[in-house]
Amino acid sequence: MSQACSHRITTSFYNVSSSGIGFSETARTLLRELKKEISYFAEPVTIGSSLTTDALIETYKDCSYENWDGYGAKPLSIDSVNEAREFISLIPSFFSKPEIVAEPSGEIGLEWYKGRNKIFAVSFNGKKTIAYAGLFGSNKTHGIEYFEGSIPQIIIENLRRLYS
Amino acid sequence: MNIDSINPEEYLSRFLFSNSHFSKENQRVKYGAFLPAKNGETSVFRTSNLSDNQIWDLGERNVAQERKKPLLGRGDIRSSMVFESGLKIRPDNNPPRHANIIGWPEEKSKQKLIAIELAANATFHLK
Repeated sequence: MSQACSHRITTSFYNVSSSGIGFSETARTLLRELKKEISYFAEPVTIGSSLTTDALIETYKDCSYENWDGYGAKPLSIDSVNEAREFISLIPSFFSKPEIVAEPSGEIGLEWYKGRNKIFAVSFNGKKTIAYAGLFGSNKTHGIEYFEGSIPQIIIENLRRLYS
Repeated sequence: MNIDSINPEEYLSRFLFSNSHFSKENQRVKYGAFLPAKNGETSVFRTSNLSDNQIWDLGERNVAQERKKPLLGRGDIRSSMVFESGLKIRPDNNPPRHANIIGWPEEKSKQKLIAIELAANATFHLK
């Protein structure tokens, strides 16, 4: 669900729940639960987000020149950094902040590490596509998703999997 | 050490020059350290039977000084992990003990998955 979409639903929900007329107690309880669920996704990271953004900028400074890794890496592209910054601002507060990884191709990666067998990473190439990969015990996943304005559902699902 | 073939029990060291390729806090190597370079290869050194000091010396003399970069750390991994990931190791002994991890898939996300697995199984050493 996109942030804009969830925001609209939350607002509409508040209107309905404030009147309360014509709803059974069960319906009201269900609506309350729904509101809680939606708020997870409507509320982006704030403090964690700014710390991660600082780390992102620091990494960009360190890796914005040719051969920053000693093996001929391309400089990080500003477009990929901007995409990562947008993505970070959309991460629901339910999830912990990711670590920053510079990639030799000039892309920027975000990594969630929950132990040797629970790792998920996404990277941005500045062309509105996210490459993702994850290790969940013996299960593995990887793929490419389009990214513009909202975090793709499959990325959210993989992050939830990491925390389950 | 046979210079032409790699034993799965052999250790490989990847020397690290970027702070974004390891976590001091978690004492671990991050996946970015193992991703292939522009030439599609990951440069490593065969470091079995060397002492810790000898391994650092190898990295200083053959990589850090050559590239004029401070050596920050290294990730050690068994060759068997590389083979299990479907990759190959091509020793060229130039400089001595040098080899390249080759056979990376074209697909970016698949590369990332393999690099995650290699990093997860690597042992981090801070310089």
